[in-house]
Amino acid sequence: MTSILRIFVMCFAALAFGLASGVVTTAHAQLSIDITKGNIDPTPIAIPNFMSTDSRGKQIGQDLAEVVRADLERSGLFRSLDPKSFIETQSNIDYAPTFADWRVIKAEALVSGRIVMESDSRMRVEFRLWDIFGGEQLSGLRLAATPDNWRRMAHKVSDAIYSQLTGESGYFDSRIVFIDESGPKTDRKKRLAIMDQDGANPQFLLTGPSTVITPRFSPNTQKITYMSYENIVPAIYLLEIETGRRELLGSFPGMTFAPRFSPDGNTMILTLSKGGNSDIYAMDLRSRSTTQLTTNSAIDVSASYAPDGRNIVFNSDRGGSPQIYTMSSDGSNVKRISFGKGRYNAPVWSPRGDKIAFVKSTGGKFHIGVMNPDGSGERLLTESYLDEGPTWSPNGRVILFSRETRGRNGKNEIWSVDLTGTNLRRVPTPGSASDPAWSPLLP
Amino acid sequence: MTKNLILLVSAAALMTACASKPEVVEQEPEPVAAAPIFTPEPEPKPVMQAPVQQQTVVQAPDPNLPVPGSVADFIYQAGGDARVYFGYNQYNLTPSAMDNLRAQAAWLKQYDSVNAVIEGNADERGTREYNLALGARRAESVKSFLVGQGVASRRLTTVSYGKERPIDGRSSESGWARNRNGHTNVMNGAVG
Amino acid sequence: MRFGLPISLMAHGLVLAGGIFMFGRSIPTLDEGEVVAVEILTISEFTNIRAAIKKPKPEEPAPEPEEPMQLQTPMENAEVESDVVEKRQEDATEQPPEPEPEPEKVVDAEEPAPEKPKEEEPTPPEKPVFDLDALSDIVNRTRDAAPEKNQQVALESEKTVYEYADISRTASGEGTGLSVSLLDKLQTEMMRCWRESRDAVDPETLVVQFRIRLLPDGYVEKVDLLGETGRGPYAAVARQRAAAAIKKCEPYDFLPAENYSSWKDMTLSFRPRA
Repeated sequence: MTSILRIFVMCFAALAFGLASGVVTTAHAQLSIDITKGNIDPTPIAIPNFMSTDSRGKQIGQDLAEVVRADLERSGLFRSLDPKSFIETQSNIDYAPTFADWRVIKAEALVSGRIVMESDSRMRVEFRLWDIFGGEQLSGLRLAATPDNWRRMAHKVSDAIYSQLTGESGYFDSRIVFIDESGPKTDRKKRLAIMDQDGANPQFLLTGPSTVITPRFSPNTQKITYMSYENIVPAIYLLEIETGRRELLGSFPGMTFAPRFSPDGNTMILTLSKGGNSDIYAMDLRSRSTTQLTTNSAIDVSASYAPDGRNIVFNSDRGGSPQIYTMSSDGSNVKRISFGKGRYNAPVWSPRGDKIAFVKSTGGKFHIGVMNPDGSGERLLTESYLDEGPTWSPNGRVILFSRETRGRNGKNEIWSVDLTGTNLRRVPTPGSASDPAWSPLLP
Repeated sequence: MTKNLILLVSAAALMTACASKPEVVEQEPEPVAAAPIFTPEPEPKPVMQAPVQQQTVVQAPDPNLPVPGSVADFIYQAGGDARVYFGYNQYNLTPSAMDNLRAQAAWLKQYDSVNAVIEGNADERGTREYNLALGARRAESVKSFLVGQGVASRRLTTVSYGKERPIDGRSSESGWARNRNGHTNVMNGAVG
Repeated sequence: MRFGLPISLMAHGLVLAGGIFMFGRSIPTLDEGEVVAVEILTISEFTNIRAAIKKPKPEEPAPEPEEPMQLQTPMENAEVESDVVEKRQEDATEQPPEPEPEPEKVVDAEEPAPEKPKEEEPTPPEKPVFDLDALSDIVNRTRDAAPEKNQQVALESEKTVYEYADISRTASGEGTGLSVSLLDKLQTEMMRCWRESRDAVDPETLVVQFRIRLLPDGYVEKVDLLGETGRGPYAAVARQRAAAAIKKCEPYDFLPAENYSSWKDMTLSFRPRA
């Protein structure tokens, strides 16, 4: 018995020994370190002109690369390197580049592209995206279209690169509908217009003189809804972009405004003002039947669907001042989510579902802000005399809004800001502009 | 006899209207043409100087006065301004607003074939859609009062312009105050 | 009742023996020179700060640059057999909390070792300042009401040499950690090299773990992906960014050659914040 005891004691001591000498380890490797601090610097990316054996293709290759560089740079997540600094000029995109040449100029990614003119009316765009550090191809893509559509091809290339390097879907092949403004504040002309997301190709959509405001895109990108003053009682209209066909949306016993499509495109949510009281209604676009969603004597306005179509965020002053509320899509379960000091208006649910954009005014200043759908995490992104009308990019990363300056000659402009509050920049428009609305990604 | 009464009443109304008129420091010349048909700009106010000159009751017909029953007459009877004004984010009527509307109601009851569009307006310090709703409340306030005074409801249509139709382009308290209004827009006058 | 005690002891012994077997296998070979006589350095996921005593003689650092070289001879002999090291460490443990001649030299030499040699030469008095900066927030985190008492505790569980710093600090966690200034340097370099997915949805779920093996000149010999917690496109991007960070920070020549066997094989866990 005692000898066994002795053995055990010795074993115990030996183990204690081993522990004491620190021989015991807990991981495969000896040293285990947590890296918790990184940067959010823009990724340096090299995008040489897309090559082509055809002279027309060469010109397109140059223009196309220019658009891609501008797209990625404008997102704030990329830094497009100056082509003059490139050391290597590739002659064939099917071979790997000399990675060292690109590492030297500090590129972290490289886009090698080419244009192939299959015929006068058909063009192919091909590119490879290379990871300079890893020395491997990350993705490649081939697109085909008519040469006139080279801009859309460029935006699709940008989307593919953006998506590969950030994990998010892109937003470059999209359009923005907006209100073109002219004249002094007391006699302002407001006309419906549309342009590419980067400001190219602006054009008017309607020719009439009537004031048009708050246009929005349908999920299928072919229809727009807006509010117009062409009749005595202002009302909501639908416009088919391709055909120009217009349609008055229903006939209501009062003024209708603030329209938005549901994510599946089958329902229009809107505000009807009857006897001075504004409430939110949903209209089935197929049957044209309407359901009243709010029955409060307060102002209930600016409804916006969540991307799953099951919830709605809206603006109401039922609590005494304008605040943000959510409810189920049938009008039940109303919950207030804004609680800060100030007035909250114009809530818009992000297509990514994780945030709600809004306008907050406090102390004479206006802000664009975002919060989580439960009201937490409120963050103000901008500040000025008058910022309003936020709209989300298709990937829920970027917000466009209207910014108006003070005074008789105050001008309206469209600005964009990243969801994190960075990368504030102006969107170029032909003249003054307001009420931007972003389309989904074009198919 | 009735003419004297009208002159007396209008002189009295003019004096009370003068007392309550909002301060006008600068003013944009009212644009006349190039506006869509359904929003005729208010006629120029020809009678602003009138009260000064017409303290005494005059028996002879005054060519400066607007034709009775005309749109200009309506404005004149309302004290020279067919608008009532509201406080920030408010849609309740002030006593002076009610006085103005009483005069409007009287005229409307007298010329009962005339219809009007009541336009609610808001100042620029708000978002577009919320201000449309606020303007709608203001228009309804005006309409309710007029109906309460005996004007038939079917004659009055309410509309909101939100912040889309400011009458004052200044970004100041004075400018904003003028833009927070309810405007009774008499489309056509009565004949005679 | 008669069998209770032996059975219990037998069970304990089996467990312990098994433990020794498992653990015994992972004893690393301290074959490279220069390793100062410390045990295998383990930095766990928890804070792991070695207890320290206030440095007695700040003037001493002057001749120190030579010392690591001098120590090689006795240390090399000591490293040949691991149980000799253990015995030394065991002796050290049983001493009262006063610096022994050998551990003292070792510790003093260890102080300048983590920093590059060129940093020591110009202004030795400046070195304490450097340490102070690097250690200040660690101290804030681990300082206690009764440092002396904790130091006793640290001494019992802590089996080896004492580290000297400008301010005494209590041990935290296992109390076996690498010098914090070295960690800081690595963190600082990684901040430059690693692009965080700060604006992804739920970035805290995108943890990526790599094992890297470095050559003595600081270049990467081998990289192995140990694991990742995220899923979907954000996770793929997080992995690619961590891999790029490792490459971008190459060469790791800011890590001191004297400690090569400490950092030649590391696990790096990249943890994005929200």
